[in-house]
Amino acid sequence: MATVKGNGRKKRLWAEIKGYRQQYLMMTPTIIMVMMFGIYPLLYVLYYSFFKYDGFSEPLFIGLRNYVRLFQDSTYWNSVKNTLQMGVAIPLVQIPCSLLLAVLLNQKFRGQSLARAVIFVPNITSTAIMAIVFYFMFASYNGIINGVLMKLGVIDRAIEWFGNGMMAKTVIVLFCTWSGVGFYMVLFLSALQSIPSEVYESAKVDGANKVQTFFGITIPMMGSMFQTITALCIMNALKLFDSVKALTNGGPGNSTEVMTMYIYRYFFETMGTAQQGYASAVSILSTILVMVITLVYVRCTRKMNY
Amino acid sequence: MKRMKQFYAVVMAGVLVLSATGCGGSKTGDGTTTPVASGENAASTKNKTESSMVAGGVKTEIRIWTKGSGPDEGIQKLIEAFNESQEEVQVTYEYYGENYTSVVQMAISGDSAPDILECSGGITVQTLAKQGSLVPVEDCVTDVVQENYNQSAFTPEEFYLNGELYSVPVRVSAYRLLYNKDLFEKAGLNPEAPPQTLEEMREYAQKITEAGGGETYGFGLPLGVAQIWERVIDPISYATSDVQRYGWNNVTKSYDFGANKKYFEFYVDLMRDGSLFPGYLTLGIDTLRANFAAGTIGMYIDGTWMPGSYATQIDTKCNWDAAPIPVFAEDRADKYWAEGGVNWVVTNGKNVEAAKKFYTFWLENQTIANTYMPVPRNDARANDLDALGVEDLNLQGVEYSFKTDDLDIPKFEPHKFISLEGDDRNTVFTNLFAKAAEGTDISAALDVAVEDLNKRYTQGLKDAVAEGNIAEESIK
Amino acid sequence: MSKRVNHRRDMILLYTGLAIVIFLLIFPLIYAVGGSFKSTEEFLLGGMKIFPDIWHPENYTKAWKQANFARYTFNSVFFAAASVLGIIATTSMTGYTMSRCDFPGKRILTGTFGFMMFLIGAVTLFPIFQLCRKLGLLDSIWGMVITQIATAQPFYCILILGYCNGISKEIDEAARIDGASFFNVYTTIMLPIMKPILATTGILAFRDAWNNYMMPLAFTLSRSELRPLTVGVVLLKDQGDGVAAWSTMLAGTVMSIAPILVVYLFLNRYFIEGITAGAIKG
Repeated sequence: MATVKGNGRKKRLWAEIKGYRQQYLMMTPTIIMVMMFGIYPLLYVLYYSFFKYDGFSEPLFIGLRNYVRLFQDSTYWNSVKNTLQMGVAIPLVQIPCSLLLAVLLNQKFRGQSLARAVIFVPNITSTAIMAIVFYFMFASYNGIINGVLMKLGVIDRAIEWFGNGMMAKTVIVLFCTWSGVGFYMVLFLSALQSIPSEVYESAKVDGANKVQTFFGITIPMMGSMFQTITALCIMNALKLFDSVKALTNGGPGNSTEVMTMYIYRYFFETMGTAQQGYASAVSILSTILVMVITLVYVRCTRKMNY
Repeated sequence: MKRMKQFYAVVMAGVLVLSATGCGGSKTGDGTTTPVASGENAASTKNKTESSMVAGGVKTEIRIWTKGSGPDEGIQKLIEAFNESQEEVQVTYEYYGENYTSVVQMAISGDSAPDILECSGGITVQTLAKQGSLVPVEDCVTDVVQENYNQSAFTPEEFYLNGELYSVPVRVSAYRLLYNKDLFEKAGLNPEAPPQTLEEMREYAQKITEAGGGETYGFGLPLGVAQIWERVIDPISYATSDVQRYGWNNVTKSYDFGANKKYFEFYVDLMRDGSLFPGYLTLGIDTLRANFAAGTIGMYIDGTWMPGSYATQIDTKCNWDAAPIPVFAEDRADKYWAEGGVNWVVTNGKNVEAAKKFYTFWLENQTIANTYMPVPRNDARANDLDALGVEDLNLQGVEYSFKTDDLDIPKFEPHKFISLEGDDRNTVFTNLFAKAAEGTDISAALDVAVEDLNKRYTQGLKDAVAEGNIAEESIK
Repeated sequence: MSKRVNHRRDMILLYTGLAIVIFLLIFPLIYAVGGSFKSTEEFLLGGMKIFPDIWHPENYTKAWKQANFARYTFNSVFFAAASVLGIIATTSMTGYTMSRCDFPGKRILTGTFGFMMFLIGAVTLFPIFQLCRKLGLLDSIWGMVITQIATAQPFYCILILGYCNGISKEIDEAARIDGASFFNVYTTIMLPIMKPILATTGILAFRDAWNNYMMPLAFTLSRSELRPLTVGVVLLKDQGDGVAAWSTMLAGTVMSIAPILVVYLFLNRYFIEGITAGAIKG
């Protein structure tokens, strides 16, 4: 009895697959690449996380010792803390700014497309390089930002922008906002396009002012798009690398070291010592953390889906 | 719609055109295969072209990789001399700056390692030798070399494996105090009398900062350099006690980072005095040097190889000199720490004989290199001040930079062979310094950190011995 | 009457606000351009001047020669163009297929995409590098191209998937009834309709490839002839005389931004159209 049923199901599955032959063929490049460049690296890293390995000698199996060390590694957890702070602070600044710009630029006025274009320009530059420029702009001795602020009388002594963790993180947030606001603005613009103008019309008729319209209509109607864009922003903030590396290299001390940098340091900057295995363990844990955080966020904001 | 099609068409056409023309030129072997991107100047490229065109016969090409921020005149001229002296072996060299370690790591695992490479920045002779990537260079140490070289060039254990010699360092590198004579004068100090004790140095730094009125500062401490504490603590510790680099007490054969404490606290005091050049927490070495050259920093500690750079490569506007690093008044300075620098090794590749031929030439002709890039070398003949061309180059800080008789190269430094769990001493200290900069009192934290460092380094040492990375005899 | 005054006041506020925002956004770029004409020492010493007293246009010739800029630009263009074409071709096929069919394993594929988007670049770089080395892909630009195409799959497939979901299935069915095969429907009917999202994909993918730093850095460390501009420009810093040559690097930066800036300004209209044509969907 069971075998007949089983055979039947199997046959149907096989028939289904054959039926989708063209489709599978069309997806073959993607599937192969995903396996080779997505699954394989993950398995590689997972494998070596149980070893002590320096990249070219024989790896030494040490079981869970890397993970045990990881849980007691206060520097790592410090980097997790820094990453989380970035994951909150950056979206907190970027989303309102880009949303505001999107709303402003959604109206028709002269120079609208020029403004949109110019605001997007910072996003097409290379973050690795512009971060270095920002480093010099914010230098405490003779930096131009300090110079301008002093000339304007806003401050009377030069600010040590990279003097402590908080300040340095502020600079990072500023830089990320500068670089990313154009990108998220454009995404929000597209989300705004999907709100029919009749809704705004009827709101005006009802006598709603700008602020009321914004919070009462615009945001709720964007619903799931808002959630998606914000999730994207959070995820990118958690995966930050180029900007932080070029701006502060984790400094001062390690108060701005984020998880990605910690991983990179142990993979690529500890040559000669067998840290690749440990770096692998760190990678696995960090990936899981990023996933958990994003999923938690998605769960919590589910009610935004109308 | 139509514009879209046009766009795609243009892109496709562009790609086709570019691939047709561009790809052809990249890989043809026309003799001058070193990409211009490595930064050789036009002159040496031209030389190479001419000599390779003249040769015509069977020619072996040797590639060398070094760690450097820019083309080293000394190395270039030496290579030119070699290339011109014979035709069978032609040498080219490339330099990589910050990424040197990764470059070599990738090249070796990718089987594209050069014929000769410099062991530095984390790449050690021992690691490569153990892997079987190197060949011994005993036969390159000719009589000429034996006679003229500083004997301590051959003592460090790290250049040997199983009794075979794999590398000979050509330079002697140590750290000295560099100070700006103009700023000394301005602050009312005697420019010919650098500080002899650390207490004096602190006082002088304060005076210079005061006299500067916000434009100049007394001392530069580049905490953006990861290994900074190697430069500002270890040499002093080495000269005045048994504690060598990275807390290794060479007499008790154990770790004692407690000895570093008083020096660390000294720098914290400097910071609290306000004498440190601003931005010190993330200050990089380039910015520091540029500012020193421009005359905005009174004193800082740097390597004995810098006079050459300040004379030839940086636009130096101030009058400066080098002096021995001060010690505390209660201590007496014995010999300062030094290391053999620029150790090249010959890899186990296809051109071993040719590479060795060059290696011998390299060891014997350091004088040529010093004429163009003056740095203290193991070859006594090269250190001859007359040979250095002092006048033409505006070479400063010569007296102490080329003085090698108060230097000592240690035989064995365990930290190089330890795979440490957690942050190393430098990271720990820099983090503590950052906390101190915020105003917190770190004396308790410092004690805790020292204890922890002792524990972890000792554990790392035990593991290294257990895994065979360190021989028991070395630490007896 | 008051409405018009209000409106005027609003407009003035709007323009002023925008002007400030735009100034803040463009200023760092101007500073970079100014710095590129300074000598390295002058740049490192900071100061209030945006533009130098003595202009050093030789920074540009130095950057061009030392970095072999012609070669690097070609590499960047080739790398970006090839990646874009590859990405468009592969992800559009997959995205469309996933949108229309409920095939066995679809859940797994979607899940894998979602998962891959969490992967941090630094984590997978080393294994991917080893893989390409074993496959012999490291000796040409194709290693980087294929890696770029592969790692872009998750994001763009989902992007296109979302877009296709918004296109009515009736169009497909009409064509199928007429006897067209699945693939034919894709090529003759869907592709033209997908143009806005393909343009978006193209521009975003071009930008990602053009600005990618970490992966090309790792791949081309010992193969300088394959380097794209991002890597070459940052490495310029290491090729100064003694002190790192920041000014040369800045000159290189300005030169490397120029092409993509041109491409962007030229295609800007399509890009905004593409994005705003309902590109992002859940």
